[in-house]
Amino acid sequence: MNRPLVAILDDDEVMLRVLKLQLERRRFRCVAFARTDAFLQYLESEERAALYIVDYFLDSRRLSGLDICRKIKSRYRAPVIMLTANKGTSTIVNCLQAGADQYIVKPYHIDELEARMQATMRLYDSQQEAANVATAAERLRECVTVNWLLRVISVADGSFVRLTEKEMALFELLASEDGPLDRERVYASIYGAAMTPFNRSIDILVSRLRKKLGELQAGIDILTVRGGGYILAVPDREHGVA
Amino acid sequence: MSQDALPWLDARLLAEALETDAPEVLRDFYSLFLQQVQELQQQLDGFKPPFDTGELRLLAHKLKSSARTVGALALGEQLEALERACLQGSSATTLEAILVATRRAGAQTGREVQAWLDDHVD
Repeated sequence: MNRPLVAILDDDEVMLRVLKLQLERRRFRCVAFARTDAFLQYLESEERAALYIVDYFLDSRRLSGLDICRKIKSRYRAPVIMLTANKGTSTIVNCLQAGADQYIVKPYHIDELEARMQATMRLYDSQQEAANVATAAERLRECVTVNWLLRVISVADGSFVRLTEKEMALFELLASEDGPLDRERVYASIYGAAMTPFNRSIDILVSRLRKKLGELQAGIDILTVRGGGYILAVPDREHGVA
Repeated sequence: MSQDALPWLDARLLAEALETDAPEVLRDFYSLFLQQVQELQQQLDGFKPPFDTGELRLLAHKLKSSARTVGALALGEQLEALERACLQGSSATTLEAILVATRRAGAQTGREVQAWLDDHVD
């Protein structure tokens, strides 16, 4: 089971240890820091937390919680939740302007904090998926033009293929994933139901899409990964087929 | 609700927050908190008029959340009053009165926490 790593900075050791224990009981892994300099050293290390929790009011002459939040945001694409004992509007505005994704007022209820953490991480995961789509789309753009709305894929010499709705759905799905997609997931995504045994719908759909992509002679293909489903192979100008 | 109506130590709160009533776990937290309260008392003793309200506010703010989390509600309330008085630029007389009340709350809370620790020895 995946246990997200959470990095916490709070110079109040009681609060820090309470939060660490609470999160560990809820199956998070935690690294906890009571000192700002130790936390900054951690930021320079190779380990990356899935989420950072930073106290707003640090007893540091040099850096505030907002400064730390900005440092995290300038380095990594990772969610930050600010903990504050002050629910004043200016404090909340400061948190959000520093780039914090969420804030929570102390004393908090751990259920609420966990819900905010999960919501923030879900949002980042979905944005990461969107980023993957963009990357695949970039590679596709180098060899074909995809009109997602009209379901038409064309190449520079003007030849094109028109896809059915299901074929387009399969193409979008494969283009959004860097690794192989298993048949069950493809089926569930396209047909909205669990695949029944001996169902050949996906095989037929893949076969039809593969044939149409082949007609374009753009080097795009659907590869069957033994035991792993399907993967879209898109030519990469620098490194060959990806 | 007046500050006096709040308990010096509501031991249920820390157990609820940590989702355990295991004494060996709770003891660590109360011991650490007691140490913080004792440090607070020493630091508060060092404040004399004219008060450095910036430092005093920092001190009050720092322990406020811990106090409430471990169930030292009266001390948490008193620290909030001290922090607010510093922010509002209250007079030295007012600050002195709040400081006296905070020291008293700190001393009483310390005794309550120590009593809990004595009742839950290994």
